[in-house]
Amino acid sequence: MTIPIDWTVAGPATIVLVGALVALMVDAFYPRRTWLGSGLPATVAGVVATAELVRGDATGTPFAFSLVVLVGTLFVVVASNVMNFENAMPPGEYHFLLMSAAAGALLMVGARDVVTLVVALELLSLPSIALVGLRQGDRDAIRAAWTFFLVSVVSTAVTLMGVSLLYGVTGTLDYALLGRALVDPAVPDGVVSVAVVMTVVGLLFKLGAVPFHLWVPDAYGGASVMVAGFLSAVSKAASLGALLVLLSVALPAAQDDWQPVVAVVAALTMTVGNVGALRQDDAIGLLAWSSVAQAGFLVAPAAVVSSSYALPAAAQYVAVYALANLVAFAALAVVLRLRGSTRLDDLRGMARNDPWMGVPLVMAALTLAGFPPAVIGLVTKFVVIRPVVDGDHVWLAIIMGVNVMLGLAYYLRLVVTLCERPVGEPYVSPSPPISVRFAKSTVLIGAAALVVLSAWPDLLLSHLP
Amino acid sequence: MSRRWGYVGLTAVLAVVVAVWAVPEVMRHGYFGRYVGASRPGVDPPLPSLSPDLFLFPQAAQIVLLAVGVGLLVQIYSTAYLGRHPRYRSYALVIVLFLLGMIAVVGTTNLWVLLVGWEVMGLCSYLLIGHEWETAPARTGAAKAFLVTRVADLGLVMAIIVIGETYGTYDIVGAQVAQADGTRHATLIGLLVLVAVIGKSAQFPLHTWLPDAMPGPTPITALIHAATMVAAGVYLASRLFFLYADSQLVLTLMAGGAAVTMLMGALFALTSSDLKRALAWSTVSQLALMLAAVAAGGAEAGLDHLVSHGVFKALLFLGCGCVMLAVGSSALSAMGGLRRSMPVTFWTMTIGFAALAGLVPTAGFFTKDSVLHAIEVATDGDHGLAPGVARALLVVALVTTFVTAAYATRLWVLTFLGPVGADRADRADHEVREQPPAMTGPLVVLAVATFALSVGQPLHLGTGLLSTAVAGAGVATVLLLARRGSALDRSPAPLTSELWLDRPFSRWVPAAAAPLARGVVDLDRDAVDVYPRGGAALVAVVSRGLGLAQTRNVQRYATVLAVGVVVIVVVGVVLR
Amino acid sequence: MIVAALAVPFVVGLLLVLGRRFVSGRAAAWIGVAATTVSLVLVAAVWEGREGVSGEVDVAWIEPVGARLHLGLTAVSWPFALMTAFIAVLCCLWLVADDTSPALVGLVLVIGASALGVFGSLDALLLFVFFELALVPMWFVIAWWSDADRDVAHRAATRFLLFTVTGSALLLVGIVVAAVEGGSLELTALRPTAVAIVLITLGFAVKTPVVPLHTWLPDAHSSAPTVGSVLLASVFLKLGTYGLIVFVLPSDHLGVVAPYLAVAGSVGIVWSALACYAQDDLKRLIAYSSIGHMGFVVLAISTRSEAGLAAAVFGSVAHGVITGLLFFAAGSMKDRYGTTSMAGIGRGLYGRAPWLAATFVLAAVASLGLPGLAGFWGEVLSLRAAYDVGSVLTRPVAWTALGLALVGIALTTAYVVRAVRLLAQGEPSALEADRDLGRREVVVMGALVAVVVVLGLVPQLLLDLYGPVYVGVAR
Repeated sequence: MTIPIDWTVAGPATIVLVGALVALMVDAFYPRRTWLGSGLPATVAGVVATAELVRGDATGTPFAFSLVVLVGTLFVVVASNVMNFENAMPPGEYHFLLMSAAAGALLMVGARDVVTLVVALELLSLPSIALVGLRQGDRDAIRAAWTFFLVSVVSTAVTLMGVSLLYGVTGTLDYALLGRALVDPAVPDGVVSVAVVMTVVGLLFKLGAVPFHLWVPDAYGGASVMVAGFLSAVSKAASLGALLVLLSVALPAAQDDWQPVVAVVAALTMTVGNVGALRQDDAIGLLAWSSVAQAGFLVAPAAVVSSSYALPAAAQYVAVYALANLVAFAALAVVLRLRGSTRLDDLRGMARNDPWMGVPLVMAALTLAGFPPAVIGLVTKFVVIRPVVDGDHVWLAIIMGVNVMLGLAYYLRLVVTLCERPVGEPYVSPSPPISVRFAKSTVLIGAAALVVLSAWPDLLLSHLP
Repeated sequence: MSRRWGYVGLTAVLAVVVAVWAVPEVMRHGYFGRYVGASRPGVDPPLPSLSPDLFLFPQAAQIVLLAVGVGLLVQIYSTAYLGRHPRYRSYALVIVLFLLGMIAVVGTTNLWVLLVGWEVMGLCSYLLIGHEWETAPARTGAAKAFLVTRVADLGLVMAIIVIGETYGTYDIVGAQVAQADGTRHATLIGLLVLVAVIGKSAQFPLHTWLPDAMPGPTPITALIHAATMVAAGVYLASRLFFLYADSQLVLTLMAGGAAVTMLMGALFALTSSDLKRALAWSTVSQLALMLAAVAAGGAEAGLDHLVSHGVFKALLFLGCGCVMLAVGSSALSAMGGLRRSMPVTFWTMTIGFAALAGLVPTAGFFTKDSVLHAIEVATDGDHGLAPGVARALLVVALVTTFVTAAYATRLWVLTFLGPVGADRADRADHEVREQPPAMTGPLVVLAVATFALSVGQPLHLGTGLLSTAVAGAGVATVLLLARRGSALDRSPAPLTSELWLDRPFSRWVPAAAAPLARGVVDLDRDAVDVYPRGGAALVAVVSRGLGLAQTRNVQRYATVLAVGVVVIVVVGVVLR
Repeated sequence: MIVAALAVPFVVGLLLVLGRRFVSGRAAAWIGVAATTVSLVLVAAVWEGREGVSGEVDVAWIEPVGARLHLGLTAVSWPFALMTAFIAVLCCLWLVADDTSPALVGLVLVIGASALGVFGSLDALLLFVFFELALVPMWFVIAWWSDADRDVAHRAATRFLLFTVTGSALLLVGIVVAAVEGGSLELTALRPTAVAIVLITLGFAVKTPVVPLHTWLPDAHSSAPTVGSVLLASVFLKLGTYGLIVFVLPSDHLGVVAPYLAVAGSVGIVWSALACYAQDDLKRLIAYSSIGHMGFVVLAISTRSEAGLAAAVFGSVAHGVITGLLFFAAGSMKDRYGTTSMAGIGRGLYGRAPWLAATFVLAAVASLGLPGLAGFWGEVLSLRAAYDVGSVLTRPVAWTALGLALVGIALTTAYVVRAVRLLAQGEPSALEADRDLGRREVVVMGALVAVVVVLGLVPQLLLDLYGPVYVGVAR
């Protein structure tokens, strides 16, 4: 039996995996506790993989999501300069795990059969869990990782059960064949319903959708900030991509089974996430809950995947969301490193006394809120509501609208805190180590990208699928 | 001093301009000299505009001349009366503005211009009644006058809108042309106009604002609350008469209201203990007489009486101002025996009272005679009004004539003859003296005019004799009583308290408004605002609950997850 | 030209915010005056006539969504734009003082430019972007430059923002529905379904505001600094009415919302008048009175008739000018006495600061709709539209609304008279701060008084845009 290898999909993933291994090797033979040794190979791998992706003939949704994953990973890798590799984080393991997870993410987006999907899911999950717990001597991190792990196991188990049911009913695990098999009226409806819903659960878990969101605030809070950024952006984008492909290619026949579930989950997720974020006093906690809410917005187009607007909308939304979230997390990482706290009270006046970090943070928050001057945020809100309306889910669109308001309530709090006149001692920015400046520059580049996109949204919207 | 005469000059210029415009029109005959606007019944009216559309018919020209004439005299009078007042400037300017408003009302065929003038007059009246805004009665009176008239003015606004929708034009002449094809909505238009007229001309039941407007400076009372603004209601009623002449209901209501008002006003005037207030009630009563003429179909008679009343009532009020300034009060109890100390005022006011009582040969006699004649003619039932109503109206008018003559005589006696009143003890006799020429001059002019306006008036012998007899009886009765030494200021409580008709305005409405308003504010805060605040509270509670759910307890998370899966599966299968 | 009219104040505003350390408040205000004047002149000059679109600019923007940078002024939007630019000039003039913060001038410019953008947009998404753009700067203006207590101001500003954003989120959904249905985001091509109309109406009704969605307004208006209140009342509320005119009025489904709009509008007139009657704070009183005036506009819109359209535009513009004047007068009092409580300001202002009192009384009288001043025409046309019933309402509804509106007018007179009595009249209680209008105040208020009188005496200036020949430029 020969397994055809689609190198369009496998190419970038392989390159990333190779990069991961190289990073580990370099660290083994050249053990310096700096970013450079293992970070550089990871960066190179990321760049090459991106080039390979762009050069290749991938199109449509997989391309878009792969691009988001790769660029996001690159961003995380470069911004990881901010980390204290000297005594808190082993650089070799870190980069290895990061790149492995990225490879898993890429495979997930490219998966065309359920087995690959499950394997990729694990390839993404396990390194992620390790990444969360990697911070040395940090009980919180270990605990978060432990939570993450157990919950992850449960959800994987559920997914596997769904998959086996699917296989039992249809006798195939290939997306295309599944799609055809499910049309067959002989297939028992009840079992299919259960199987489909359970299969989807694993992906919803990775997305942090309600009611599988409980790990999110804990894991984001316990992990290093950039790891949280990775989870919120890359891992989520990959899961969404996989979900969309699964639903649109393999399960359209069972649309009646999953559509209401996904729609309700989307509505619940965005509401719960936003409400949860309202009372957060720490910027990272706030962003953690906000990414739960954003997951709701991400999942919403999946509910109406039959609309022609849905796939591009999801890709465009996730791209902007990932960029904004990464900018925010990277900026917070820098802040945490330099100031030792990300509590809102300690961020007061940052846009004034530390504009190079404060203003990007403001821009990212406004983008996530979907509010001008971050026009791109608003435009993608429009874009993501459009398929929902087109798919006749106006009620969901209205809930999305209400959630835009709820979201603004806390994003505004963040923005206002940042812009306020600082109280007490004027903050004197310590001269940061060179590596932190490197991380800072990624923040600035990301923010600049947001500004450019706001001025010219067409740049993104016309070129991503 | 010279600055004061500047305002007089301004008014004089205005008067001259108006005279040049209006005097030729007095002689002109025929109404339809000019037609403005497009009128096709049933077609949407154009959007409103304020093109002046100046147009005067002879009687309107007389009214304009009356307005600027009295206005000029009042300005002259005021240089002495209020010249040293710190706010003389605003006072004099508002008078000029008022005159412009009056000219707009009378001199246009554009209903919107008319409305603007109408309301500008109301505003000026408000400002001028409240001229002494330091004192509470002035503030209250001003507020009341403005509120009552403005509420009534909504009738005019709606009337104009209805006229526009009915006849497709906002031009009076245009509406007249269109109306030739058939009158429509007569009752509705008539009722709305009636509301406006009742408010502006202080007719029952909206009459109480006029006596309460008396804290205003007396020249203002003479100009606005006797000669012009309040009379504008009568003018409007006659100007738009053609629109509702078919409506029995409107005419009957108008006649009934006029009957009630004229008798009531006269009785109140008879029993008032205050000269100025008595004159104000007299104005209310006389305006009702004019409206009665209009209701009876004798609009021309009504307007004639309007002009002559404007002259002699302005004379009386200005004279009253002289007296008030002299004795320092307007209470009748502070007057008496002023005949010798104030000769000019005495003689001119005597002429005024004679005109009010309707004695020959003053203009008051002739015009009142015309009014009575018009009502009498209407008793034949051919003039819209039902014969019975017209007859009742005639009877009431005659009774009113009697009472009018009586109270005019009473006021005359109490002010100028008789003993010095009890309340003037603080002022020595030598201080009470004639006013300067700037004040007495206008009195003389008006007194002359009271006679001059008689020239050329029609005389209806029958009603003339009857009314003279009735009026003579009234005069005689009072004189007889006075000769007998009977006190003229004794009267029953319901009349002195003016039948408590003011209660709804002075007590009930304010008493209801304040709690209502507070209630609305409370409701706004506690009831309407519930949804945002309740929503916010709910969200806060849920948010806290979500925070509490983050126990970091892995078993619990796993449980939630498992239960979630089960719920979702069940829901998913069920929803299918 | 229209692009320059937007860009000049916008860019200058941004520069002022960024460069606030390098410029004095007075200089910043003068720069603001210059920028807004340029904008005003351009908006005025761009006019080409009531048929068609003036100064049209139409370039590609976001192809995949179908959004275009489509700007231009119609007979409906031009009066709004002119009024906005004019108010912006006056706001900047008002800020010509030593204690002005340059950043405030900058924000005022940005807000003004955003509002201009809303009126100038012919593309729904572009309009929405401008609609939202002004909100966050407004939050800062209310919260940071308020004279009120910091917490109070923050709460008021946040309430304002959340209310508005709730509305605009629904509006966004409505626009999406309409765009999906119509296949384009061009204002003229939108085909809102019934659901979309409900959503859009709700969105703009919050902004307008229509009772019972109004509770954000008194807090926001009374907490904001003078220019903030002026911008809120004169410009922001107009975004709501303009939206209703442009999106809801021409829709085939107006009938779905029209009865509710008519009744809510007229109930609002009565409700707000009663609320005004019990106010002590002058700014709160003016704020509540705005609800009533907007009630007339909403009532007019709900009738969909020629008179109704004219009433809505005239009423909006007149309210902008009159309420601006009222808020400036209240601001003058606040500058002097440090409070806007009528009890705190004291009585007898006629005697203490005659010109200030006279201006206030004129504005108040204009606000109650005295014929011959600007406030009247909008009201009377609304009444006419309601009497005429129009094409969508039923007669019972329209005439009920008409009756309520008439009651409201009467009550309006009552509270205006009460305010004048409490403030302008009465035994003067002289305070040390008593002084009459300064030069800056004379210029600002004089300009507004002139407009109020001119619009009152020559309503054709606006109404001629909506004569019989007028064929639905709004559509």
